[in-house]
Amino acid sequence: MSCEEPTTSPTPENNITVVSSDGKEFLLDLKLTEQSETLARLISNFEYDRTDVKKDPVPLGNITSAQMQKIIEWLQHHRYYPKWEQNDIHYSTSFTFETWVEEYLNIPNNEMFELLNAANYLNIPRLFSTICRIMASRITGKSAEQIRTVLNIKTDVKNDVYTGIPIQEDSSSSEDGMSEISLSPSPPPI
Amino acid sequence: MTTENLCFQLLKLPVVPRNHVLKLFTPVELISLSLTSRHTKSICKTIRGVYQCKKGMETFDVRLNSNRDIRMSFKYFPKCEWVFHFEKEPNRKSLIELGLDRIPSFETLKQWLNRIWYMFRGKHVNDQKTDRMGKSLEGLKFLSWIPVEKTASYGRGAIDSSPFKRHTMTIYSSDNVILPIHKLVLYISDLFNIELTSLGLNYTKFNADENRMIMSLFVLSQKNLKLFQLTGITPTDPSKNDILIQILKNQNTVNTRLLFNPSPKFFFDFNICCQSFKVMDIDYSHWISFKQILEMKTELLYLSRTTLLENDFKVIVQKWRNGWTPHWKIAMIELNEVLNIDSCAEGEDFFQLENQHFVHKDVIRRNWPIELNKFEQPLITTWGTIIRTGYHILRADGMIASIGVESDRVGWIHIQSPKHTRISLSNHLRSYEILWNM
Repeated sequence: MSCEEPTTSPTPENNITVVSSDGKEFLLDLKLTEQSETLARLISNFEYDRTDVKKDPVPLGNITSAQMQKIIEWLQHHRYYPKWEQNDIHYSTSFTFETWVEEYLNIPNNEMFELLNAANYLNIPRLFSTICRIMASRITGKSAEQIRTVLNIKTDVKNDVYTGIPIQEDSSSSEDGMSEISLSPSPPPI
Repeated sequence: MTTENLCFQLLKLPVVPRNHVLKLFTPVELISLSLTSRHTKSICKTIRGVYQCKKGMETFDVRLNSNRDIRMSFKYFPKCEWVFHFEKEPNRKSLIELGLDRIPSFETLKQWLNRIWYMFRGKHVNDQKTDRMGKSLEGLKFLSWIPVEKTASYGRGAIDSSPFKRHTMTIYSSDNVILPIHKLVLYISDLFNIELTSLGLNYTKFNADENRMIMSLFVLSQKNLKLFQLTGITPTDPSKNDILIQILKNQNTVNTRLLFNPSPKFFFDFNICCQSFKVMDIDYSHWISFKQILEMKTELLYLSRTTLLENDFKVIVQKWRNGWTPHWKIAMIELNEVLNIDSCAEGEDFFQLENQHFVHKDVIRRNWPIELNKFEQPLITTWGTIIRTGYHILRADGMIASIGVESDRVGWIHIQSPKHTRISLSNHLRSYEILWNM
């Protein structure tokens, strides 16, 4: 197991093996898997929490070893945290994060994207919500043009909503039958 | 690192995590995101049922008075309000007149500093992009997408005067703010699948054509406008009466608050209006005649500052006792003199109700053939406590009306619903205002 400072050493009785998409095996403490609803359900269904049951390695085809390592780091840190309670009524402007979380998620956006997918796949609500909140807070105070840059959105609006200047079209993302943006301005001056 | 590495590909996420992120966006952020492309707008529209938008929305108002605002308030905790505040963009001509045209604006200074910075970094300033951000959107200019956050409250007179967070976006528009505001209202309505709930208009701030346009865009073309509030103080300007009549003719909401103070000769015939009102609340009621009070087609009638006297009130009570039933269920009438409620029931035996029996209709019926049941009831609200003295009157057909007085001159008539077993009394801010000014 590659995570740092494990509180208790995993033994064959209290752990399972998960296999990442690139074939690397990770020994995972059953206590940690409680944070992942996917793994917890799997363990419950196959009765892997019983000592007399043979535990086959669990393949995680959607998760790379790097992502798994990152996830284990998260699970270890939150090992003794109370169960996550979903609270969606707050806006992105009101989010604050603890220093450890900020450092943990100080990663390139593409890694963040993959980590969010992994958190979604393994159903780790605290990690999933935290990444969603961080992503939402990155939009705060940004104009449409800035959001296009941050989220790499290619516009499919024929005229730019600010100037009326035609902008390159992205036919792949446009939808047939969509109405024109009602805030579209008058045609650009010739 | 490629661009894709630098960007977070939100739209490429599976639907569940993508929508989870979008649900955390503020209304302003959703509007901003929806402007990026038609595709993102369609995504934003799919999550419009989130609590922040439709479910939690309490009001979606347009206020056209000293301020020109679109306001959205949400009822979930913590309570908050989003305001799109429109200001007229200062034009170049007025700047020249003031001799300020040569003074660079903060934005210009920022652009100059950016140019110098990029020169040192050996990069070109993307003028077109900067321009694209700064230029107006059909008369609208969002100078910043960061709302100004302040703690606000609705003050002493509000039903809920607890403090809340107000997030204000300032938008500059060209000469006529009405069309840009309407454009944004339509856009928000479409994006969040919500409809305008109220319009507050000070008609003195606009000319006749503008008032007509406002009524057409924000009242006649709205299907579910719940409240219309009209203000404007013109007691010495009878020339405004025609505009007022035009506005009142065109208003079709069931809840109407008329807070304007017209000239003494102003008159409006409410029979012109097609709809029956639910609430008719008139702040300066000197222009309302006694006949109009008797005929007003509304459930709740609140008339402040009338010219009516005690005798008029007495006549209404007597008419009801003789079998007449008005359209309204509740009427509050602030008289032009002190009201002695006993004089409205004089010459009769009455039964003095104890406070614990005050609300029970059975007790009143049990006292028959005594028709009058006197009460003195403290009414406790967030505005304070007020004592209402009056009578529950039992009519021969079994109907009960509660008449009463508070703050010396505010008379009440409640025609109690036969469906309910308990007496109900409502209240109005005006009585408390009189008390506060005493």
